[in-house]
Parts: sequence; structure tokens; C-alpha cells
Amino acid sequence: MKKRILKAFILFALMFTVCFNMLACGNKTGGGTGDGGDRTRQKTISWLHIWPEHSAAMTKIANNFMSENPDIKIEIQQSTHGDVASYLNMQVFSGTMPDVFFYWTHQISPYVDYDAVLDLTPYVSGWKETFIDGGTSWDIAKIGGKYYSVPFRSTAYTIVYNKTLLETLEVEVPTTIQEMEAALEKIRKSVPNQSFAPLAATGIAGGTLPQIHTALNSFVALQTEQYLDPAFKSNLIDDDATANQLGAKVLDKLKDWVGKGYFGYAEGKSESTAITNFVQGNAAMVLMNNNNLYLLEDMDEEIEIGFMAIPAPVGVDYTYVFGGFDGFSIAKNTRYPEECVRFLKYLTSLNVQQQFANSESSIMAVDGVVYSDPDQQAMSVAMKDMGNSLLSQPDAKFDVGSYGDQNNSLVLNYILGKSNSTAMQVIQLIEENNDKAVADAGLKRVARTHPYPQNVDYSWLEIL
Amino acid sequence: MARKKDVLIKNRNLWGWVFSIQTVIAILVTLIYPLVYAGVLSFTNVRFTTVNFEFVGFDNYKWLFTESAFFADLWVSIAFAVVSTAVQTVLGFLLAFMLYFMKGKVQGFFKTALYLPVILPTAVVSSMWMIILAGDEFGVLNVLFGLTDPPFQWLGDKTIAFWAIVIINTWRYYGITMVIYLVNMSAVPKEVVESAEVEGASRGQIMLRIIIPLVMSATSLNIILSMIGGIQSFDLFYLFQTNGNLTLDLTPVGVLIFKTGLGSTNLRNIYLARSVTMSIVLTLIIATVTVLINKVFSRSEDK
Repeated sequence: MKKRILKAFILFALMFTVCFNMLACGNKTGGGTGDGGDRTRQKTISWLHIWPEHSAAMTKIANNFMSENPDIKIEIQQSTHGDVASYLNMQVFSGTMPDVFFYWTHQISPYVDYDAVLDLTPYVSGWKETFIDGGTSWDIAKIGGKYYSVPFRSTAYTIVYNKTLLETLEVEVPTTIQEMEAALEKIRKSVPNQSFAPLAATGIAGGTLPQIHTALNSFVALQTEQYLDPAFKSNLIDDDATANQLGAKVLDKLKDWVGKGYFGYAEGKSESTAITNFVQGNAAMVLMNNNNLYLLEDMDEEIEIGFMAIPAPVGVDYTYVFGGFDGFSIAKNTRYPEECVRFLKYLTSLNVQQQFANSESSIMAVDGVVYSDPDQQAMSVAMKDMGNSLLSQPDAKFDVGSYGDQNNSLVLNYILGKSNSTAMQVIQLIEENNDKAVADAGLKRVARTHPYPQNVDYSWLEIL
Repeated sequence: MARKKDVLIKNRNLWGWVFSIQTVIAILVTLIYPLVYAGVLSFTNVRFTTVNFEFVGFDNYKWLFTESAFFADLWVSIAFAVVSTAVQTVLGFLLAFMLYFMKGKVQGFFKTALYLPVILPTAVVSSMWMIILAGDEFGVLNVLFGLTDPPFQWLGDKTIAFWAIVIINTWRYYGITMVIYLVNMSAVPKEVVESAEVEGASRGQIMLRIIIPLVMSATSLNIILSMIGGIQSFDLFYLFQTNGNLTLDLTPVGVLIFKTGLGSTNLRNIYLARSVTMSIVLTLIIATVTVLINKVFSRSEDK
């Protein structure tokens, strides 16, 4: 009897093992990146993008590529703008990265740190040069002298202005931040109704109002030559008293603008509402993403519009464009690097880029794309400084991360006039959070070594 | 004869062990292993991958009790759980009581209609309520009440936003509470209620004297489920913060755990060990709350 039980036990164990093996084999042959086509010699590449709104265009691109390259099969994975980071984090964690995956070019460095991204440097020659400005867009994401991300299209915020209205109000299109302030003041006085916004902005976390805060800080970084400090690219500079005072002045300046109604009712406003305000004539200007250009289609055809970046203070040769490039990278553990590169080259071929620009109203990364839509063309010109690597920090060694929500909340509440703290107290709280984040990363902040330039005019930060 | 019987029993026991192996393995793999693994992780400095990590003793627990936002956010979760549970339980009970006296198709219709919000996906619920509560001139509530100049911020202020989320959560889940109560009420013998009605008892008296004492187990179940769900609350808050304009000042501990563990946009800011540590402490808190609620109700049921 004991033998029978032992036999049954062994039989059971064998069945169990067979079941597990079958499951394991099934995973290998049926998985997204598996070589299910060994028999047909077709190689399967998984491709992650984040644009449900462009899924038809992405499917068309994949289908066209597959018909031109019958040896490669593209399997599309789709995430969303808000979820792609956690989606990819899970994939990295579980070792199931898509072969070709979306990520913003200038933010790819954490994945590079985890050795999850293929170095594209050996493939760059003759490819990078086909991009706008000879490939400066590649350089803003250059890490340790190597390239890991291929720009696909631009994603940035520019100011769209109602040219007709500005002419009626006799307001010149501003070319400096001082002129911008004067223009906002003149518009506000001409149209005192508070529900009309001289510049429609979104006063929510991650909205366009915090972007204007970032823009003003960038101008300060340019004026103080902070970007020339050796530690700037690593984002590890410990802000000194001067930097903190200037930071506080920026906060006060923006709070003053909000209080004067330059942004209308910005609090709680979504970007689509801000754009609707502009389209319906309830805003003279709007700060908006180029990928929302289609929302301007409902605008009265008789109204002429123009595009510009946020202008810098007098004497600073720069315009601020909040944004970067939507890019694609290749997973380091892909089984088919050559095929993935072939696919990326196809994605950034002039033909595919032109098709995408035409059908999806996007501003593309490759040189030579022609925009038949004049608005699209004007926006691409306004975004010219986006590829400028002056202020990019691709080697940033830390991010404020889990303290980011607190910092965003501190800034937003202050500029919306909802905080009881002073600007300097807000700056100090932010600095404390930054210190914690740097310590968490096992790093130390470093003192600025580049001297402050003399005779710099910070008067644009004064409250008028 | 007795020996043969012993052998049979012994064999039967052996077969029992053999057939329970798969269950034991399943429990070990899906329950015990993750728990033990999580416990071990909480004593390490694992950030994202389990490569090159070190054991750091109680550092994560020390961080949790001294530096983290855990208890501030836990307070949001507990306040949310308590208020939501109270509102949801009362509303669910009253609706079930109303349905209890309805008959046939009328009851069926209202039961289905009132249960509908439960089956809506969270994404749909949040999108719908974001439009209703939008803090601009197009927000449904703002238009309805003429609160457009300036637009009222339903989600911008911590206190108002708290109540807004409580209402949305209650609207979404009262159906479950209602159904649990209704099932329990249906088990109350009709004769008891009919006798009370014959004796001249009002609906209020029937509710207070008969129904409430007899559905005490349903109350206990509803409160436990609602409290656990409330303390673990994540999805509504997360969606309203990432896609809407819910103030970041109103963050429950579930969102904090997610953002610390996986939700950061930057891999460098991921602290898996800390996230696990917070999860362990939260689990202990939920377990304590559950035991306390059970004790309170078991005492009242004994009485």
C-alpha cells in the first residue's frame, strides 16, 4: 500500500512539473517579444507608445513598416501620458521591457542609470544629421557622451496670441519679459472684466502657470550664469542666499501678476478650458501645448493668430519654451537590436515624419518636414529654442521625486495667494525638501563655484 | 480487524496530505512568500531592483515614524474612511429599508437603478465627476449654481475637496451597502414585521426595534468593508490629482505608498523598501481596526 501511495505521489509530482514546464514554455513561445516565428524566421518587436489619440496613425506606421520589412513583426503596446512611467517601471522591474519604448528624450537618464537602455551611439553617424539643426535635439539627451534616445516629435508650450485683438487694443507683440508685463497690464486695463484673461493659464499642479514660474527661474539662471557652473548639469547646486532671494522675488513677481488678474481666473482651470477661453474671445493669449493645436480649428477665421515663446528679460538672448521631445529608445535586453534600429530609422524617416505631421498636426523632430498648415508652421518657428541645450540637465543626479508634490503645492498655493507663508519661507521649505531628496539619493549638494556676474539688471523682478 | 482499520485511516490521512499539497503550495507561493518577502524587504534599502542592496535594520521604520508624510496622509485616509463609512452605512441602510417594503418589479427596478454606480469603472466615475466639479466657468455645478465669476473651486480647497470626494465615494459604493442590508433584511421573517404592523407599530418603530437589531451582522460587515476600503483609498484621489485639479494637499496614504514605490516618474525616486514598510504598517493598522470593530459588534450582538 505504501508503494502505491509513493507511486501516486511521484505521479502527482511529475504532473505538477509537467504543468509548470508547459506554462513556462508557453510564456517563451507566446510572449510579446518571443521569437514565435522561428519557423517563419519573422522577428517580433514590441513597441510602446502613449498616444491613444494617435493609435490609428501608429497602427498604420507599424503596418507599413511590416509590409516593407516582412521579416519583422511589430506588436504595439499602448500606455498613456500619465501612466507611462509606472508602466515602464513595472516592465523594468519584471524584466519585460518593450523592445522599442516611448520616453521623453531629456528624461531618459534614470533608465540609463539602471542599464535598461541600449546605447545608440554606434548608429548615430549619418542619422543624427537628418534632424532639425543638425541634431541638437539629440544633444539635450546626451548622457556621458552617449546617445540613448531618438527624438520623434516636439512637445512644447508656446504662447498663442490673438493678433487681431492686440492690434485693436494697440498692443505690440512683446519681445522681452518687460514688454510682456506692459502688454498684460495694458490688456487688463483695456478689458477690466476679470473673466477675460490677458493670458489664459492653468493654475493647477503641472499646469501652465507653474511653467511660467519655471520660465522666470530659467531667466534668472541665465542672468546669474548658473548654467556655467560645473555642477549645473547634475542639478546638485545648493542654492545660496543670493539664489534664494532671487527665487523669492520670482515667486512674488508671479503672485503679483496673478493678483493683478493677468491670467484671469487661473485657479483650477484646465488647459482645454484655457484654450476654449481663447477660441471664444475670452483671452488675448493662451499658453498651450503644440499637440492641442487642433483645438484652435473652431476659431473665427477672420481672427488672425500668432505664436511666440515666453520672452526673456532685456539683454538675455533666449526665449523660453517649456517642453522637450517625445522620443523612442531601445531596451538593452532586446534580442533584436539591429531590427529595432531599423524600425527607429523608419519612424524618423522624412516620409513617415511628414505623414505624421500631416495627419496628426504634430511638430516633428526631423529636418525637412513641410507644414502646410500656417499655424503649425508658425508654432514650429516659435519653438526654435527648444532644442537649445543651454539649460538642459540630462545628467541630473537626483529629482525631488516624492517631495515634488509638496514643492508643487507650495509654489502653486503661494502664487495663487492661498498661502500664509512668505516667499522666502516657501523657498526655504522647498530647499529643505530638495536636501532630503538629495540625501535620499545618497548624494550631497555642492556649493556654487562659478562667480556671479557683475552689473546684472534684475529690475524686471521688481513689483511695479 | 482493528489493525486493518488503523491502516485504512492512516492511508486516508496520507491521501489527504497528498491532495492538499497543491493548496499548500498555492498558499505558500501566493500568500506566505510575498508576506515574508515584504517583511525582509522592509529591512533593506532596496530602491528599485534587488541588486546591490544592503540590510539597514530598522532605518525604514525610523524614517516612517520621523520623516515621512505617512501619518499626515494616514490621517486623511482615516478621516475619509470614518466619514465615508458613516454616510454610506446610513444611506445604504435607509435605501435598503425603503426597498424592503417595495414589491416585485418596482423593487427590481429601483434595486438595479440604485446599484448602477457600483458597476461603473473608476475611470468613468472620475471623468464624469471631474466635469461636474470642474473649477472653471464650464464646471456643471458652477454653471448650475451660477458660481462662474469667479468660478468656485470644488477641488482646490482641502476641506471642500474632502467632502466632494466623500460624496463621490458614497455615490459610488452605497449600492454595495444597500444590497448587503437588503439581503439581511430579506432574511427577517415577514410574519414578525406583519405582526408588528398589526399591533400598530410605525415604520420607524419597526426599523428601530426589529430591523436594526436583526441586521446587526450586516452593519458589522458593511462597516468593516467600508473602513478597509476607505483606509486603502487610492484610485479616486489618484485620478483626480493626476488628471483633474484636486489639491495635492489632500493625499491619502495609499497614493503616498504608490508614489514612493512605483509611481514616480523618475526611477531614481523609487524607494520600494520604504513603500513596502509603509504597506506593512498600514496592514497592521487595518488589521487592528478590523479586530476592534469586530469586538465592538460581537459585544453588542451578545447583549
